[in-house]
Formats: sequence, C-alpha cells, structure tokens
Amino acid sequence: MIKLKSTLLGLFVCAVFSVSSHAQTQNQINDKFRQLNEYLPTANSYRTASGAPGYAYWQQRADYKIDVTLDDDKQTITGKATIKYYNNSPDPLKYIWMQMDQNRFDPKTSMDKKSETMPKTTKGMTMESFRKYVDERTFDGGFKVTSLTDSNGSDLKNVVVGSMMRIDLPEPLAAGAITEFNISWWYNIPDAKKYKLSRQGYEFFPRDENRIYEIAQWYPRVTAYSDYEGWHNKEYQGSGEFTLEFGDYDVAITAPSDHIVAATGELQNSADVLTQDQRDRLIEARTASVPVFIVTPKEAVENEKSHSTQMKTWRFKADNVRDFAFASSRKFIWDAMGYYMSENGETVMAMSFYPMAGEPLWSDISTHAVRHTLNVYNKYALTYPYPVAISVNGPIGGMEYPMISFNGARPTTHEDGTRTYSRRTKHGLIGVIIHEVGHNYYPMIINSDERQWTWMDEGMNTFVQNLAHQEWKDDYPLGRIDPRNITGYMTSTNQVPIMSNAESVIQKGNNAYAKPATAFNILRESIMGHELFDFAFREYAQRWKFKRPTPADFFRTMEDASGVDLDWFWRGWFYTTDHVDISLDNVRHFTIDTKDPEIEEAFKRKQEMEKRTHPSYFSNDDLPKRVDEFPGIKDFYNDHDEFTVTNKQRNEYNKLIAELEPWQIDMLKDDSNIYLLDFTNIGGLLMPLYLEIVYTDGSIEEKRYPAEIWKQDYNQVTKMIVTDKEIASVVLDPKYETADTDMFNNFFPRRILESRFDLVKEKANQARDMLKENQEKPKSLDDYKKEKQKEDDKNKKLSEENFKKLLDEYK
Amino acid sequence: MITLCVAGNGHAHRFYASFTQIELQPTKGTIEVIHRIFTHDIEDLLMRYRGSDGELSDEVIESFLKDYIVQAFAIYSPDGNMIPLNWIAVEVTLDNIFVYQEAPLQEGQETLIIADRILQDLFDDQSNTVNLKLDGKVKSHTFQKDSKMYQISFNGRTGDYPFEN
Ligand SMILES: [Zn+2]
Repeated sequence: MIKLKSTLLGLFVCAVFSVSSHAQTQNQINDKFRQLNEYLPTANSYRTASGAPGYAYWQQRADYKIDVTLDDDKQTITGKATIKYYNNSPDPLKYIWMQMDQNRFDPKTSMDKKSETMPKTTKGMTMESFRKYVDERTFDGGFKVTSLTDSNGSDLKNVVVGSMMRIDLPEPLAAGAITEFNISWWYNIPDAKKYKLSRQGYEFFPRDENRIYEIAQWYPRVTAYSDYEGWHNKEYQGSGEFTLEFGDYDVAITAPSDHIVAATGELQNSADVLTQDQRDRLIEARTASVPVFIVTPKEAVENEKSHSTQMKTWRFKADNVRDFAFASSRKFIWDAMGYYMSENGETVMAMSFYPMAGEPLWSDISTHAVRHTLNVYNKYALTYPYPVAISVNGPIGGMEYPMISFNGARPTTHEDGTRTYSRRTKHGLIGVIIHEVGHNYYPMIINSDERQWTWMDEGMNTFVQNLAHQEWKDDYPLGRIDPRNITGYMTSTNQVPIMSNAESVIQKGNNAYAKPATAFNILRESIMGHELFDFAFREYAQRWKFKRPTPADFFRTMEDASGVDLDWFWRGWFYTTDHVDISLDNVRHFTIDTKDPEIEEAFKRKQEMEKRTHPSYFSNDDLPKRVDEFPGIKDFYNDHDEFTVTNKQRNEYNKLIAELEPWQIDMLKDDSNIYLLDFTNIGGLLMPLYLEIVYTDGSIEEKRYPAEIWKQDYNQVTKMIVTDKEIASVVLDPKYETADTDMFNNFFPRRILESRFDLVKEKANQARDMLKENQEKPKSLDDYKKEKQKEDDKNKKLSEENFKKLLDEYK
Repeated sequence: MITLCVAGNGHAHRFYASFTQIELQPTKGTIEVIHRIFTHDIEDLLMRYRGSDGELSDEVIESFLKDYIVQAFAIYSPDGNMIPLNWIAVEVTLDNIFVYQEAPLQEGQETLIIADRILQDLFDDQSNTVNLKLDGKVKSHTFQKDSKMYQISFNGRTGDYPFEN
C-alpha cells in the first residue's frame, strides 16, 4: 500500500490506489445500470432479443385500386376503391377496422370537437373569428360512405365509431387468406386554414379565384393489425399521427384539365396529361445538375386564368407504400431534377410544385433541399427506395406523406407586387422541407407507430434533419439538438418520460422532438462516437425498413450492433424524468509518502510552518529571549525541533529499503502529483465525465471518463489523476455536451458565469439610441419625486383592481 | 386586441406549448423571467391574426409579443400586488422565440403567484410549463386551459390559487 499525503490540509490521508469510489449497497435496490428487462417485452419468434425481426415476423398488407374525382366547383372528393387485404397474421379475423380520419371534420361525431372546450372569456372575439368558430361546427365534413360491398357485390355490414369503421366479414378471414372489398364515398374538402392540425385541405386565392388542394386522409384506410397490439383502433384526434400497412397503390385522379397534379408514386400516362414540351423537359431534368422547369412560371400564370370545365385523368402507381396523398391546382409551377444514387444505380426525381406566391424562394431552394435530404438520409438510414420525392407549397405548414410533402413557408408579397424574404424564412423553409422529406425514412419506410411513439419518428427525424442542416451550410444553428437548449425543460419537476403515449404528451415539442433528438446527438457525439453510432443507427434502419419496429427493437439494435451497453442511457433518458447536474465538488492534491525520514520530516516541518500564519508567531521575534540570556538551560530539544530526524528513524528507513525490490524503491521516489477529484450527481441522470484540466505551466489536457464510472455509487465518485505537473483549474463538461443544467458547480475553482439572461440583457442595453436619449428634456429631482409618487399611487390602485378582477374571473 | 379562437392552419409540427423559467436571484436582487415559445406557434398565430400569407419580421413578432405577453402572463406577491415586469428583449431563432423580462426581488421573497395564459385564449390544447427556481431548487407547474392561478412557494404553500380553504 502506498500512502498519500495531502498538500492542502497537512493531513495524512491513507487511501488505496484504486480510489474510484465507496460502494454503497443500498443504492443497488434502484440500480441505474440494471438491464432494462422489466421494461422491454420478452423476445419471441416475431422480434428477437437482439432487436431484429424474428424468423416468424409478419405484417398485414393492403393493396388499393382507386378512382377519385376532384370537383373544383363544389370542393369535393368522390372516390371508389377496391381494397385487397392480406391476412398474414397467424390469427383468423372476424372483422376489419378502417381509419376514417376525415370524420374528424364531422362536427357531429368528432371526438376532437367534442373534447374541445369553449374558452371562458369571450372578450376580444371578432366577427371574423366567430364566423370561423361557427363554420367549424356547421361544416358538413367527414366521409359519406355510399356503398360497401364484398367481391360478389353483396353489402357488407359495418359500424362507424367516430373516426373508425368496423367492417364485419361474412366469414372469418383465415390466417394466410386474402379478401377483397369495394367501397365508395365522398366528402367535402375542408378549408385547411380554418383548422388547426388539419394536415390537408384547400387554400383559396381570392385574387384569381383559384385553389391549391392538398389532399390526404382522403380514402378509408385499413387500420394496422400487429403482433404487439392487435388492431390499432384508436380514435383520431388530430395530434397523434398515423399507423398504417404497406401495399401497392394504383390511383386514377380526375381533376380539371388545366390542373397540375402531384402525387405519391410514378405518373403512368404522361402522354395524356402533359404537353410534348413538358415531357421533353422531364427527360432533360432527369440528368440535369440544376432544377429544370416542367411547368414554367409563365405557363402557370396562364393556367390560372383558364378555369377549364373539362376534366383529365392522371394515373399514378406506387409500390410498397403505407399511404397515398396528392396535390392539385391551376397555380402550380413545377420544377424537377434527377438524383442519381450510386448505391443502387437508380435515379430519383426530386420535384417541387408551388404557386407564384412562393417565388423567388421556392425555385431556388425547394428541389435542392429535397435532393439534399435524400443524399444525407441515404447515408444515415437506407437508400431511398421510391422513384420520386416531392415538395409542395400550399396551405399546410409542414406535413409528410410517402414521396410527397406539404411545406408552407412563403416570401412576403408587398403592395407593389414584389416579394422578399428574410434569412429566417429561408432557413425555415429549408428546415421544414428536409424535415418533411426526411419523414419518408422515419416513419414512412421504417414504419414505427406514430400515434403511440411520437419520438420514434419525430425524434429520430429531427436528429437526422439537424445532421442534414450541418451539411447544408457550415454555420446552420444547432437548434433542437443542442444539449444547452434542453436544460431548462429537463429540470421541470412535472414532466412525463419520453416513453409515454403520443396523445397524452404535454410539452410534445420538447418531449417528442427535442429531448430524444438531443439524446441521439449526445450518444453520437459524446458517448458512442460517430463510427459506432452511425453503424448501429443505420443497422436499425436496415433491419426495420418496410417493417414495424417498436422502441424495444430500437434500444436492442443500438446495443446489439455497437457492442455498447446502453441500458443505463435508455433508462435515464427515456424512462425517467431525471436531469443532468453533476457537481465537481473538490480537487484535492496529494503527493506520495516516500518513507524517507529526511524528506518526510522536512515536508511535515514545512506544513507546520505554513499553518503558523497568526501574527503573534512573528511579532515578538525581536524581543530578547531568556534562553539566550541563560544558555545553560538549553538542551537537545532547543537545537532540534520535533521534525528532526532521529537515528532510529534512519535505521528503520534503511531496513525498509533493504527489504524492498528495486521497482518498489522507484515508486517511493516518484514525485508525481496526485489529485483526487470529487463528483456528486445532483440531477440523477448518469452521464460521462468530460474534464478540461489546465496546468500551472499553461498546458491544457482533456480527459473523458465513461458513465460507467458511476457503477459502484451513482451519487458520489472520486476520480484520481496522477501527473508530474500541477493543476491550476478543472472544468467539468467544458463543451456543454451533456445537457448539464447547472454549470456553476462544474468549475474548480468556482467561477462567476454569465447566464443567458445576463448576456441578452447586456446586448439589449447596448442597443441604445443616444440621439433619442439626448432629445429628452432635463428634469429636476423634485420633478422625479412628484412623478414617482403619482406613478406609485396609480400602480397600486391598478394592481389592486387587476388582482381583484382576476380573482373574480377564476371564481 | 388579440382575437379568440383563431384557427390554426394545420401544421404537423405545432406544439401548443410554452416554457417559462423564473429565477429568483437573491444575490442580484432580481426576478429573471425567460419565456420560450415555439416559433412555428407564433408564426401561425400571427398569420391568422394579420390575415396575410407573408413572412414575419423579427420586429413584427417583438411588437406583437410586447403587447401580448403583458396580458397573458403575470406574477404577484402573496399580498396580491402585481409585480410589474420590465421588458428586456426578444430573441427570435428558427425553432424558438425567447422573451426576457425582469423585476426587482423583495428581500426574503420565496413565494410567487403566477397567472400564465400564454396562447390559451387561442389554442385549446395549449399547455404552459413554468419552472420557479431558487438556489438550485426547482418547482414546476403546467397551466392547461382553464387552469387557475398557481402559487409556488419555497417556504409556504404551493397549489392552485386562491386556495380552497
Ligand atoms: Zn415531423
């Protein structure tokens, strides 16, 4: 055992070399490093313990053949579909549940409207907004099913439950069997701008009396049936999104003949609907390095005027998609550019559809952003498997469907007809396009359940979106994945864990987007490193593309493919509401006890002398001393202080040295500095320790210790650092990597930190207008006193009144 | 005047949430307030409110919030006196809007009554979380539609205000 001596306190501290921690067994009851087993479902033949689909994995399938007509005069959709349903499950099914999401806009049945409460205070409601409020409740929305028959033409019994419909089959559909049924319906298309979270609808342009239609949730869709939940029959309330089955789509869209239609899938009959010029341009665009207009701005302006009463049918096919959406308008400019993917030799058409109101921003940005998204996501997830990727500008602010997304940002149109846009609008548009096109991967292809686990699509997508931002331009703000931005939220004492149901999540923006995206960022940048993280994250995408992963499959795959035990991380970040606050309490300095009495006694003497700081140790030094006047009273002790080395000590040392091996003697001569760093985990969430050590010689060293450092005791650990230099200061998490919520206790010695508030205040104070300040009339002190008295009286009265009023309101 | 029940435009990524951090700073003698609101929420709201499809400048957003926050958010001493908050600044970023306000802190004050209706007159689903922080301790409350005022105290009672008994 080697003894350490403290250079700070003059205490001789005895410690073993492995000082990592004091084990505390009572902590283990609630072990943060325990495997997640009790949270994760038991592995089975459908889903393996390594996080991959099992040998008996199955999912249902639904193919759709649909004829649909868009009536621009009445703003209706009328459709007729043949749906082929494959029961790949091992279970016989007596009925099939359908999602009737348009029923959300039926005021008679909508759960969404029923659960909405009338605001208490009606003051301030304008006629305009009251009209909207009434409209919402009188709008004749929702699916009107006109027929539902089996393949023989016989009627099928059905029951509508809010936004769901149960089709009762005459015979149970056996495991492995296929059934076909026909359904016809129509509905009034809602004005998208009248609803929050409408996700689809039309936008009216009064100037030219045209509309842009963004059509989605427009046909009865088969509800998902899975091995872990059976029928996902959950009422649609608007906030949670969708869970759907894959299948092939063959859709014929009939629209006014001067409309341009964009849709999920590949256009099958371009000769019927496009001019020869337009078809030539499409071919040119395939290999172009910049977007090429298929419909030019000039042609779009001409189309706006024609208001044709003729109809045209556009046919689209889409294979292996989980949904189908389209957009249609006279107003569309259309540009396109091919993206050749060297991974598989295929070319994807990146395309954009937008009105003149989107210019000049859209033709510059949109198609580039689509192509950029494919480029980046292909790297982190999987090679894009579809023939087109589309961005449409219309009424919807941002919403994703397979191969097609709706993105709302536009420039400002000024009175003189010119249009300008700010940097924020531009960044915002790039961001929203990357985000919505990115949703093709999460969850359109990696088909997680959006309604139950919002973080699996939004969190992962937001994370990769931010990686794409970084590759767009160097100084793109980090935004939602910056650990510093999540700290405030993470200290709230009333959050719910990320692993909560989507519809019940309050603070969804933080919980489903920012917190998981930040967690992935920390895993990649700090805990796993790019190589291990990227491999495992991509492996998850590869395993689950066109399949239905659950959170457990993701957690398991990340560990399985990287070899890193992350249960502690998932537990802390996804199953608890703990936050990160680690304190660097103390840095204690020691050197090695050499056992050599000549050195050690001198060291003790120095320590003792350093303690003698009080003035009375020195202030009487000049006075004559009795021992000098009577030298006879002096003896051995007068010439030798208590730290004088005796012969006995020398002998003992020599005896010790004689018994030691040469390497042991060397160790005793080591003049290293030994530092013990004490850390306390205040927030509860375990994180690695990242240290920046500045030495007295000015050199700087970075040290990184994994979270496992907390394994024995996750309230307190001590880390030893041995160095031949002397430490001047230590910072814990100097780069703000861990979302530590209180940085004040991360510095040794403590430092005054400028808070975000201070910085902003400073900046605001600097932005003064001195000219204006100088124009103020000078006032006397008396003036101010009078003014203040007046102001105080007024405020007091006002505040009393307001408080009383507020109290009344809440009664 | 902000109108009631303005319907949003169906953004898949609207959050209907705000987050407010109030820090009692005895050493500085101040109460610091930072509101964090999602930029999308404010943009969509203002589009409706102004009835235009154009973009919004930072100045428009700031002048709107200056009027709006004063009506929607207030803090009171336990004696019922409103504590007037000075306007410090607004920061508009791509994802978030931060609003900074400040007031003097009375000595020994460890209790605030909070009214937070930010965007609740407009969106039924709006939820506003407030963290009150003193010496590293945090207490949180989330205001939903129809929430009462709320008292948070580090040396007394915490709960819906006025108290039932
Ligand atoms: Zn999203």
